[in-house]
Amino acid sequence: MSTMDTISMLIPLKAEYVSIARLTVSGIASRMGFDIDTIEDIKVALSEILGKFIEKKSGAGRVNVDFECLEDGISIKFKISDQSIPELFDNDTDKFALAIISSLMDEIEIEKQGDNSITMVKKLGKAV
Amino acid sequence: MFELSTEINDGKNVVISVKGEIDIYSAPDFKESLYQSINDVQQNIILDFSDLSYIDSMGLGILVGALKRVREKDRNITIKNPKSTVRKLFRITGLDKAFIIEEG
Repeated sequence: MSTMDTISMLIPLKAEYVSIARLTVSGIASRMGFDIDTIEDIKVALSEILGKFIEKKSGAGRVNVDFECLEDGISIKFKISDQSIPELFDNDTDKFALAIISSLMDEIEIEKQGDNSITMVKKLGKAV
Repeated sequence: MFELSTEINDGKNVVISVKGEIDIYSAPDFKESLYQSINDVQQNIILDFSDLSYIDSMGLGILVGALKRVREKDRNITIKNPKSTVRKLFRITGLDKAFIIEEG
């Protein structure tokens, strides 16, 4: 998978900004040719990740979100400004979130060594 | 944001209509409003989701908490007319087996 273009946004870890990230990914995914149902899936998964960051790391600064447009899909990478990745999925409600993300996206990778990031990927033409 | 309205449709059921979006921003208000509505009545609860466009895992967790409260009083919650995107999240999380879901 080669990256064609990358769009980045840096947003405060506050609940009121999650809807802005949803709108942004909706525009990018639409431009890439994802269908409406898949765009909705990506929006839901993105909201779940950001929601967990805010819940676990509220006030920790900002989250950088890189939207990498690939030849065959989109990769979304999250990094928070204090460089640490909290335990995002450790209670019952978190498990709902993880189940949702795992089902709706094709890949999710939590990198706690080195890069300290979370990356999720959705391929074109693979609606759930 | 969301809107929540309550209507007693007969002696057995109370219909609570939820409109809009339940996300991390609106979830705290949704939890307070929903639990208050449930505490105020003695009937079974029908949650009309016809106009609910989005709910996240936090919202689903609130619904599970509501179901526990209602079942403690031998009552139940029915989810009515969820949109396909909302219905999909119930299926993924297995909550379609915990709640009664009615279409149409």
